[in-house]
Amino acid sequence: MNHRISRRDLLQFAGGSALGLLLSPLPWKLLDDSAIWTQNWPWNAEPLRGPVSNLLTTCSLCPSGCGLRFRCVSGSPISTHGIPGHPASHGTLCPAGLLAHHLRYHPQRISRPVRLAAGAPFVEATPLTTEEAFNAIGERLRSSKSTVVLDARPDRAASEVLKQLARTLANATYVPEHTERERTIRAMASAFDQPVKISFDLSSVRTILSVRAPLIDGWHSPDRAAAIFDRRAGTGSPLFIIHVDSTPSRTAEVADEWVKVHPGSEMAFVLGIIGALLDEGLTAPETRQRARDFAELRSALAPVSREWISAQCGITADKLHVIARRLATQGPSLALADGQPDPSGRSSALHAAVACLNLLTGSYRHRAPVRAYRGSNTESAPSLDAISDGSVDVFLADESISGSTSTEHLLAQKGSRNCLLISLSPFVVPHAAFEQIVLPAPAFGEMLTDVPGVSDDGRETLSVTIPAFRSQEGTFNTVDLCAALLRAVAGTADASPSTEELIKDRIASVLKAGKGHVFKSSDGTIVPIGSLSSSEELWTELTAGGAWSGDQPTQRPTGSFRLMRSARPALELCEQERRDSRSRFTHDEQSAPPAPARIVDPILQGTTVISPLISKLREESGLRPFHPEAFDQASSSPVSVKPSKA
Amino acid sequence: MNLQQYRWFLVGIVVAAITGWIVFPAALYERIEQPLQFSHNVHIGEAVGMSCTDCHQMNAGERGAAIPAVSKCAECHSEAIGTTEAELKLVEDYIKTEREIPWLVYSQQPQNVHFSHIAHTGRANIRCEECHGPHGESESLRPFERNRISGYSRDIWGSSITRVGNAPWEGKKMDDCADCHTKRGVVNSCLKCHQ
Repeated sequence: MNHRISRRDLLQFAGGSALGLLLSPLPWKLLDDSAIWTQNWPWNAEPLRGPVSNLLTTCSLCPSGCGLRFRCVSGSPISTHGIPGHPASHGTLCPAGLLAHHLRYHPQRISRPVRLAAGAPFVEATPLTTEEAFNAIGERLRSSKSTVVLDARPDRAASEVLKQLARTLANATYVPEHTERERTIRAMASAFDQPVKISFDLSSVRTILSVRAPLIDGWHSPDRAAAIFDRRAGTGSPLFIIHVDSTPSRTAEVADEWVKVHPGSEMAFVLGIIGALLDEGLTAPETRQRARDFAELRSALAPVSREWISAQCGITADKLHVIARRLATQGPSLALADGQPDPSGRSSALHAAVACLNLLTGSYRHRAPVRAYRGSNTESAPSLDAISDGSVDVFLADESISGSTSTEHLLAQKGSRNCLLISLSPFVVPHAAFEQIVLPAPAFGEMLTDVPGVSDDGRETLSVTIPAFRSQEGTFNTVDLCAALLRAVAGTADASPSTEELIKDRIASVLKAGKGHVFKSSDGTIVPIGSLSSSEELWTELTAGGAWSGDQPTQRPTGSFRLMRSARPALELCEQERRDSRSRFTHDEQSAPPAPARIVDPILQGTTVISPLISKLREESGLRPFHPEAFDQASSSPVSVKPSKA
Repeated sequence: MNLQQYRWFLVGIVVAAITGWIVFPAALYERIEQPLQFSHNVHIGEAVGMSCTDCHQMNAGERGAAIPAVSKCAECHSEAIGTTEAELKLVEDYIKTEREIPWLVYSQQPQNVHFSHIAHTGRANIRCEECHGPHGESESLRPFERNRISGYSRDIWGSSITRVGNAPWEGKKMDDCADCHTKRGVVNSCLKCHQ
């Protein structure tokens, strides 16, 4: 018997061992243990240890003003939660708010001024000393023939300081930026002959026509978006959503019906619906009485043929009539629009046309979704659209809360050839069109700011965000920056009030007026403001996650309004396109591949810089599923995503 | 089929199986004695009549196992009660010197996990035994079995290397948490535990 071990025996032994190991727990347990081992490498960050506490405050990432509870370890926030019972949010937070405490660690965070050439990426930002930055800024501001002071979050206490800065600087104009919801509000308000306050209450609406509006992704507050989901899940009153868009989106997926129109034809679509309402006599009787130019609208629409609109939108005239009938008969109905400000004015015209549609369907009447009250909640300051193209030498943008401006492409249109964009922001967000100087601002959680707003039922609201982290050295808040600029440019050396003093002044005036109620986050109760003895007590409540809301306005506008104020911009644009025989949807575009799915981020409405972890959670975890395959992209006809409900 | 022809293959299987099923599990864990012996049974028995939460105070904000501080022991043991070696060591080495006992925690979770005891015992009415088994009836503390690779206690995986046949309270892996949450209809989002 030969006892020599051959190579064949060794190979057999190795093969047997491999099989034997695979059939044992060894490799599988090793996989698990080695994965855990990698979590404990000494260079991995370790969570803080120490006493646990809670800090109640308000989220200021968007104007919704949701109640926020930071869970802190050793005084540093490590997680974020909603505050149950908070009037603005009822405990709900959006994904951005949920990870708001990450923002101070964002990779694009800066702690000193930087300069960035036009078109340069973030990594090419050149650090400047504070002195160098202010010297460069001062020089440009002094020589500027036109400066725009852009307020990315108007109506704050600090906004008054920005207005003061604009008044003091030579050739400067204060321009507030508005969210899409505010742009729709402005368009609605402009139709009335008397000043009106507008708010939206979606709880009473039965049919929503969403024209590209990210209804569930940031158009409204997280709490209201959650309410829409509840109603879609059948736990509330029925809600029928028609979403009009050229590309799929989450809102399109949730909608009862996705009306797929040709790209850029949304405005024509709205005019088509208006025409269908007029043709079938489906307009609200009250509107026919109160509109001073009802007949004028009808005659102005006459030249815009239904065939032309159908060709523009890519849907049949019958379909337009079906939608118009639903809006008129399955009310209360509401039309909403979204369109980032664009140089062509198409976005403004779309908002105006949608406002006209809401007036025609009577969405402004008592208990209707558009709540109109006497007064005004819109600024008289000019919008960016009103600034002449190519005229601005310096944009001074306060992006300290939002992180970045949402009107980049409009800035490119308005800026001159050598325009400089001066940003106050915690982050460097490159704007391709201009050279930039970015001054570092405190990140969310490091700054004190007030969060004014308007509730669904038209009440004014006010809450306060307090710092949860210590602010980084070398950062400027809005008030500090304005004071420094006034010193550098205008030589003004007056001691300006601090942010805290400005907010306290605002709180004192709220208490003096004696109207409304205060939500106390400590015990979840709502008490009349009269029960608070001093403005210091109100300050204490608001800086502890509380919220003030004013009395509900009751006086409704009874005067007339003009439909053509709203419809004219859209009609003029359509007429121009019709005259030019310019189709927005040519054969070439038709054969082009479908546009990529538009994943609307909730942050677009408030801030554009978010925790990098959000996209991972949102897009990879399945928390917010999106199923592009549910859409028949090959079809150019309207696609019904879900069976229509009666 | 000639088995003789494949004998080395079979030998390989047997050797690997012995390694994987017997040698590896035995070598994976090192046994470390607790710094002090302690009888849970004496404390919760009729003679003393304490409950788990008398010592393990489950502050809603606390992480981890709420292991009592030595000051808690000192409330009763400021002077030695009895003459056992453990008792004398407790009093002399820890209570009188105000030094914390370096307990090796059987159920210690990774750093990136937030676990609130009060949410589970208070809100969900889960009894201590459902997760910790008959630990409260033990006469002495068993050795802490430390996984040489991951560094965690064997209790996190469970006594069985295959996890088959583990007692219901054994195993505190993420899957165990998720299974229990699913069974009880509790939200299983990432941020629930990884805050």
